[in-house]
Amino acid sequence: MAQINSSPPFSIDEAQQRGNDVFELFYGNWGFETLGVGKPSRWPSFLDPGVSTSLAAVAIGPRSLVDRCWLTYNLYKAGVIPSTSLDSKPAIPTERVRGVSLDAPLILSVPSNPNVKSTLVNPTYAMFQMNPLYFWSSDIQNGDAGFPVQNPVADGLVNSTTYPATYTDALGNAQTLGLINGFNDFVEPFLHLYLYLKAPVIPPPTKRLPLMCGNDIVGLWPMGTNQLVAQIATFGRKTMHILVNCSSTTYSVRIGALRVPPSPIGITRAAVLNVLEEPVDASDAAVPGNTPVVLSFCNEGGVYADYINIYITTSDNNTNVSYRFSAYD
Amino acid sequence: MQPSKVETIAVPQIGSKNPARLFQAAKIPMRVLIRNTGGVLIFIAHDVGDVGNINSIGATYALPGGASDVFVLAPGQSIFAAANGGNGQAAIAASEAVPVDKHWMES
Repeated sequence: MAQINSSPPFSIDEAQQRGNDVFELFYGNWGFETLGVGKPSRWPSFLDPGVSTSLAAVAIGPRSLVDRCWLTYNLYKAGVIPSTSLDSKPAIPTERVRGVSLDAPLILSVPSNPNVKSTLVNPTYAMFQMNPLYFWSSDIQNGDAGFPVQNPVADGLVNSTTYPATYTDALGNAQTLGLINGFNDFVEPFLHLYLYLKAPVIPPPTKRLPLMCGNDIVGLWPMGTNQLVAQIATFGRKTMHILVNCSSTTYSVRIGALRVPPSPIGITRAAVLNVLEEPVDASDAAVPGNTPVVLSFCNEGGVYADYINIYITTSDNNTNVSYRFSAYD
Repeated sequence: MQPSKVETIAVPQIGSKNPARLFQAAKIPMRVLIRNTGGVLIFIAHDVGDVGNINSIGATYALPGGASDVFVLAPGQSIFAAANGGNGQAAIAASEAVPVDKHWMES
């Protein structure tokens, strides 16, 4: 997946050489599994060594649509490769992978270990063995074959924004996350990080920019039940507002929410648990055409979902559909 | 008279084979202001062997990120630095410690 600020190339080392205070990391589709079930996104990629430059602090940036991530760093203490026996649980005495969230920037120095590469997809092991500085979309034991170690802290917690490729919607149908079918929008999980190259003189942001999106599909909307209009990454948004309108004789609107599922721990769980869509809100069954429907469900409901899905059901074919979405921290 | 000097220097992580030699005085005492312009703590020592091991930092001076301090070097003495993590960075400003010109001292 794309590290968006790689074109034109501008590396963190260049930023440091030029005396910049902060290196900004932009990363698209952060947290989509790319290397197999339950495997997290990582920066730098699985092909590259960890970040070479040590950091004074890390914070979620104002353009980020994802509100949390995790990092491994240089502890100056490498462990031994754990046994491959299912029965043995080699000691990893504490969980040292650090988390960063919008409300909890990491104001601690983060030492790097230059030129050290880990091909492991498990942050705990990558740090335990190699000490490289990597950023991850998960702090969950992701089932690296041969490393059946229980994580004493993360066991049962959901420290992840790594999503599987599919989810089950509120009607029981299997759906593909991020599917673009020509009619719907997908606002991808976009990661923006402030990586502080010096002691912070810029206060870490605690709120992000508002998220606004919308679309007008004119004369093309197919008649059907629960057609997805938009799927929007809303990690941690506190206030959301939705407007939908349709030219069909009658139509209805349904809102669903997705939250990240627990990933497997060790290799004892066969697969990532299913993502189950929550029904959040819906319009009345039949709204007259060209009558706008406004939903502000999250003001009172405290949904805080990772993704919001907007569905529409129409009575006619080839109609006009419009939606507007706004969200604030 | 040894000329004044300013420089920004990459500081490798502690334990590397070649810690950064920030400055070396020639035949006269020199004053060196060191500013940690990197993200992590740097360890400073006059003996290169003192910044070679993260588990043995008793003979070093710790300078946090963003901080500055002044050191005075005896004639011929060096000052080294290693960082608590990869790619540390320091900026220095060195000049004569005190005017030692004979005529000035007597005036």
